[in-house]
Amino acid sequence: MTISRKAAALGATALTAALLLSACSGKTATVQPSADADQPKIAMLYGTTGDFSFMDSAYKGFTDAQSEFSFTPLDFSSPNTDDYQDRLDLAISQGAGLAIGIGFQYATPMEQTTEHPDTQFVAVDIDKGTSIPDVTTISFAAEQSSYLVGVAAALTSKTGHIGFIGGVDQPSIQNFFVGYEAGAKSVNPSITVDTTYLSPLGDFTGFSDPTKGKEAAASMYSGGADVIYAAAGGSGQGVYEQAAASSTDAQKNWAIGVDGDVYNQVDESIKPFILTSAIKNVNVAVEDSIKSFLDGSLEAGEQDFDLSNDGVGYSTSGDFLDAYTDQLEKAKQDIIDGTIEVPSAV
Amino acid sequence: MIRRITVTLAGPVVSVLLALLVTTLFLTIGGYSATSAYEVMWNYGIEPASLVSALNNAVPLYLAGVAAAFALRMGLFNIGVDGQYRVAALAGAVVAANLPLPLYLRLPITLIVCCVTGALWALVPALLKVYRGVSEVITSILMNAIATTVVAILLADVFRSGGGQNTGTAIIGDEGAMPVLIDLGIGNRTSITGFLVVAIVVGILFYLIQYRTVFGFTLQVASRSPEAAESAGIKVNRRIIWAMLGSGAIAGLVGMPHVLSTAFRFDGTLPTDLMFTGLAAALLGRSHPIGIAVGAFILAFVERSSQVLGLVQLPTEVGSVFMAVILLSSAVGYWLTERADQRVALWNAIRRRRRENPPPAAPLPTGMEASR
Repeated sequence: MTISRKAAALGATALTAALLLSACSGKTATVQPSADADQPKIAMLYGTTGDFSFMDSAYKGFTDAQSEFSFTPLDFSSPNTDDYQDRLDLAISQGAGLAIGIGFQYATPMEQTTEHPDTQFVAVDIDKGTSIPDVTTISFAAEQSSYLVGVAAALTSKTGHIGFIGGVDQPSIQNFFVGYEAGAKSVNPSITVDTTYLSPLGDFTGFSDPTKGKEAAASMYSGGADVIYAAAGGSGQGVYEQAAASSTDAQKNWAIGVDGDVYNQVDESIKPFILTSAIKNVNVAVEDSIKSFLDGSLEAGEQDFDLSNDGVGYSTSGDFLDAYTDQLEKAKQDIIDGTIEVPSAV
Repeated sequence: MIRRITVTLAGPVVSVLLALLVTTLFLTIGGYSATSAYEVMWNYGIEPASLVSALNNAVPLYLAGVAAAFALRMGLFNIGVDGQYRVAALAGAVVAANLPLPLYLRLPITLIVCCVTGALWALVPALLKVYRGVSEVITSILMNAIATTVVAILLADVFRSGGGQNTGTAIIGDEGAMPVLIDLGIGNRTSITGFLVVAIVVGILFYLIQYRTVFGFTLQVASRSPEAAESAGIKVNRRIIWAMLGSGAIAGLVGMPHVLSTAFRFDGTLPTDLMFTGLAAALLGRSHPIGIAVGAFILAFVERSSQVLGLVQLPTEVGSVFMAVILLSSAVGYWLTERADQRVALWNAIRRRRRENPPPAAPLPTGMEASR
């Protein structure tokens, strides 16, 4: 006999309002699966865009493929770092023919998901040498491109002092550092290489905090470094800004970008301070996988993206490295030939 | 009795409806169709695999909610559940992987180690509150930051196993992992974790300690009026320490479902935001063991089903918005239902009195009654 009437009334109002509001919809979200049932569906599982590097590059590959080929894209983005498994389940349950996971975190879920007869898996940026049954794993030799930008940094530095800013203190980022240091020391064995990481292992904020990046860069530049390599995802933006802000007539400070060609992404005022970028062609990996899936030639197994197939490299936008082209190309050729063995942290 | 159940249920229902309303507003203003969003969410959410996943994901949320509630009933805000479970999960992962004992001994010892680690991590704020009068909110947040660094150092330099990009402790084999409770066998990952049993046991213990013992009663008294409790012979400081220890011990279990039945090691994929979602479940369930269970399942359901929103080109953050609004509206919802409940009680009392004694010549001024 005692229904809390007011609560009931309020609930009813809320429900009615919710129904009314949802009835008068704005632009109707297209439920894509019903749009084109015959087309193959391709899912990309990734984090969030806006890092000016890894994720943006993957997303670019996905959108480029959409304009070039005909398929139904399933876009599974998530800011969480604990639901890789769920996203994979989702791709399967939505009938995706191909699921592309961006990031080494997809290795375990893809290995554990053994029943996926109608869905092919591609895992992008997996450790070299990882073999998962029925999964295409793509690895990037980030240490090789880092080696080359290390060479460029040492050749460009006037103070004999360079720096490295990593996003998170984890092996995948330490890998950029060991390559970079080796490259720099190959040019100038006595060069000083400062290094710092923006957050400790397990704390991913270092990839998305430009302010921290800026502060770390400020202290490195004022400590005498004149080239800083930022392997810090979205935090790199702070490093690029600081390179411009801390440059004086007496000393020009440089920043080196990562993954994508940062020169093309930053503001005009910062462009003159971007020496080069260590390129990781994630977009090419994504686009190639989609292409080969669509023409039926995608096979499980390992694919290595390294200098020999231009899967990684360095950018020359801005032409700041023109004077050193010969040295850089020689180092590149030596790595491809195996004359130079680049150390790796993974 | 019926009335108590109605009131208890009305709170969460009103909260969820309010959250639905706000999310609908958010979607509509953003120019999206809320109906299609809810439709795809619902359809995906009720798939068997999704329901199993939501149930499994609700377990850690439930444990986090009960941990928070254990301290809340003493009037303490244990915001340090986050750090407690991360440190405890690392300890548990190491024990589960290395202890040379059979499963029936190794598993309980692992869980006890987790409880002890969590409790010790919570002891620091408790002692600082009792002896130095520092707010437990501040100190337990600081302990979270310390936990991040401690875990990072221990993982990188001591317990790390294997190479590659992923960093984690040694893999826990079958003789250390939590057995599956039921395997529904309808595709990948449709087995219900044995931690469901752990969660139920924790819930029953919580109920017995908090509602059925003198200790639980003294906690309530001490939180309502420390002075009165002290003069009645209840040692309030000791209650503070015990409440934080209990809360920390439960918190120590929060990360273990992930460690012992998902990742089988401590690594970078351990969820880091279980505390806030768990707190939402505790608020939604009004710190009652059954209420928290319902709240945890609703939140896990929303979390899982909102992942499908990418399909209709909607931001997956809609799920986060919904959960954030639930947190806010659970406060409002309870206030509304409590007010409504009081009104109804008042009307009933008036009606009864009128029935018993016919209305007097001059009716009572209504203002007097309403001022109750």
